[in-house]
Amino acid sequence: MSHPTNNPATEARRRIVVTGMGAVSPYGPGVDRLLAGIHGGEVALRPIAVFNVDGCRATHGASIPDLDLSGFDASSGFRRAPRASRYTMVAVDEALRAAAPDGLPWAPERVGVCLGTYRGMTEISEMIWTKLIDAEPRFVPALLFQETVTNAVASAISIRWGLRGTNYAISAGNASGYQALYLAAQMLLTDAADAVLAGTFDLFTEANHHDMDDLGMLSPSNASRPFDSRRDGFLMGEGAAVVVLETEAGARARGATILAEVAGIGLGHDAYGFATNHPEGVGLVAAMERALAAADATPAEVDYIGAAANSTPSLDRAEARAIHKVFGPGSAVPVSSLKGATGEAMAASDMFNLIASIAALNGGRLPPQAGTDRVDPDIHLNLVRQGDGPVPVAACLAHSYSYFGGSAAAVFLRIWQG
Amino acid sequence: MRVAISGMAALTPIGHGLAGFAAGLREGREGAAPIRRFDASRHRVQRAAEVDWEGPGESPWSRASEMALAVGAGALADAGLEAAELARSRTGLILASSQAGMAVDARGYGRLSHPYRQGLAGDGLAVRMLDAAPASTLDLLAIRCGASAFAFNLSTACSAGLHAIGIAREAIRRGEVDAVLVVGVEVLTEFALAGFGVLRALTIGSGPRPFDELRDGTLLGEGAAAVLVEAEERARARGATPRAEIAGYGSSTDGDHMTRPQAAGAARAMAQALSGLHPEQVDWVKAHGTGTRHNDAAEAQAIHAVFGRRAAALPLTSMKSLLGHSLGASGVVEAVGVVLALSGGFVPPTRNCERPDPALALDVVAGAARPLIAGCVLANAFGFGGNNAALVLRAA
Repeated sequence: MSHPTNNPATEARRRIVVTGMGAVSPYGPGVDRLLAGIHGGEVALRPIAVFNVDGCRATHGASIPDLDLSGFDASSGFRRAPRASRYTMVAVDEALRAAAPDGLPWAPERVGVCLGTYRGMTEISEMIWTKLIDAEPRFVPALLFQETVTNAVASAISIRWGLRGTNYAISAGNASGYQALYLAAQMLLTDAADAVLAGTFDLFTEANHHDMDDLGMLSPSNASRPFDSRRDGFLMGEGAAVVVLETEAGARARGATILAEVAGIGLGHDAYGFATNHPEGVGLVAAMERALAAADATPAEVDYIGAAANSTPSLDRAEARAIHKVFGPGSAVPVSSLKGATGEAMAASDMFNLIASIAALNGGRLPPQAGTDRVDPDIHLNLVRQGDGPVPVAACLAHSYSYFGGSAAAVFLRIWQG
Repeated sequence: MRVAISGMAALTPIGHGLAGFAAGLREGREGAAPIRRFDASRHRVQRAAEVDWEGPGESPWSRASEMALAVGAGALADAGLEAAELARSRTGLILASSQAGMAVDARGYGRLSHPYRQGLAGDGLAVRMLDAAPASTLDLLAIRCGASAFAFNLSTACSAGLHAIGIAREAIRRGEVDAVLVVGVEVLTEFALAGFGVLRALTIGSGPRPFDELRDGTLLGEGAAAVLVEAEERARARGATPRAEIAGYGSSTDGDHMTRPQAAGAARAMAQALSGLHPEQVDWVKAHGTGTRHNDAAEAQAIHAVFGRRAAALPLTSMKSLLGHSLGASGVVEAVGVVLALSGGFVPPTRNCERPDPALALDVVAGAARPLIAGCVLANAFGFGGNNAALVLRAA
């Protein structure tokens, strides 16, 4: 997000850095578990046991296991909070502990919260509709209704941690996560905040699964295999993940450990057709080019691409075309998509992808491409294989791309060499 | 850099098109009527301010999406932007909505969104089911309007509209885009009627009567509006007339309670929007003014905190007394109303405020419109979750 200047102090105010991360994934709570799962190529997709899948072609998905939250908090409304709020609060707790182990160093008015979700609120609105269908309007629980607004999760976080900066909530498809990151960066760059919690959540629910299955989006062969020639749809996942963003100047001033620089965020949109990706991935191409331009970087600097491919024929092809367009058709840049292991966690996948990329910058382990064994000959990408050794990674490009077409985003991350 | 609104369009319960909306505001027209869109007989409250607009007959899309498309195209036309020009420029898109294309009533939800419940499935259902998500209204807008620099929506409840305009202003000021089309849309749903009903937030009488002693709740409304936001200089350079300047933006969160607004949070957003200006420059406050006991009291307290002794003499209007509360869209709809009032030189009246609450000590414009001589307006929007947003609009 920085444009080079001659003034180091100005530059430091314009650089956006990550100082903390937190996640709740199908592997359980914690960034460590998420990374262990994806680095080990452990596929979290299982036969669905939590709801009825009668009549569905796809019967597998990746659910968050029951969390042991006994140590987390018993005093507040935490236990009664909806799943989306609980998962996201657990992720925030981890991210804040990492960023500021000794307590929040910022004035509460100077901490913002930006969250994105695609369909994360439908679990609660579904309950209300059920009351309206099966019972009477007066039986709708009032405390449930207030949880249906998309910003309810951000509010729960603000209330719990006493944060009073701006809250933004986005619900615009899969790229909502990086759109939230974009708004978080904007808040820092306009000096509207000293720190912003930027994150995502999305839930694997009965309604989501049935809806996607009815639409023919899910894999009837119950396999998530991004970029594979036999890919036939995605499988659903879920999760919540949060990062703490600050300016370099702010992070340095308080002696924080910087994990990576968010050097450029590019947004785009196919603006092409309803519920379909542009065959050449024009929205993603624009997002990638904007992220690189904002970072003042070239494709040659990119050591790894965290792809958005989710095993959908059209999405994966469009993303491959976009990579070819920006990196050249013969590019050997390593690529992988986490969704072979985690399933399509919608907006939550954005932040899983970001976290995996940041981990790659801090140790060189690239996520292997799980689920894929016959790479589509039409794809021509250098997919990361299990067993590939660590490589030096100085910069990554993390993608997000809606499987119904439309929104696209890319984030250029640079290693921190403070 | 001065950022302006250079194009607008609106569909409201008190008038369509800019001229119709302006006339409705000036006259203080009543938007409230018995609900017609669905059978509300099961509900405690059976009134709302609906928009009398059907849209194209054979559309596969939700009425919300069609309303959004209509005002989006309208604002671009009003700004004098041709498709070719749009394709050449970097235009972003922000949608402000809480419910977008969500089903209108329980029957519709049961039929469309849950075919699996009834063993139903079918081609037409799939598209409608998809259009229930806000992302779909956004995608349709991006496709129709050709806006592709970025496209996302703000779903920050009732503060979404002003958040969206504020974010658009920042993106222009930072040079990231040439223009941003901000679209707000909300239609009446049984979902919202039930939800606000059980929260006891709706007027059960003939209200809403914002800032009145006897105020007893808000009234749900529908609405769609769009504004094109761009640098004032760019608008002039391409021969367009800036309609108003967006002179300030502020936002904050209470961090206190989901549904009980706090004056301190609202005051911070208002003060932030006014930074760089003198509070004395403000000629009129377009209040959030929902007509609930808590909102109006907290907003009044915040206005006193920001304006000090001047607060009691500062003209103030609640447009929700005319339009009802169109939730996520209300910020955009009412911002268009403010710009119309600025160019028409009037302060619209607040309806039903017959006995202004003396405890609030505000100069509520009631009965008839007043002349607006100068032109600097503070517009507020607050929402569930303790979200606050404020915008300063000034005659261009």
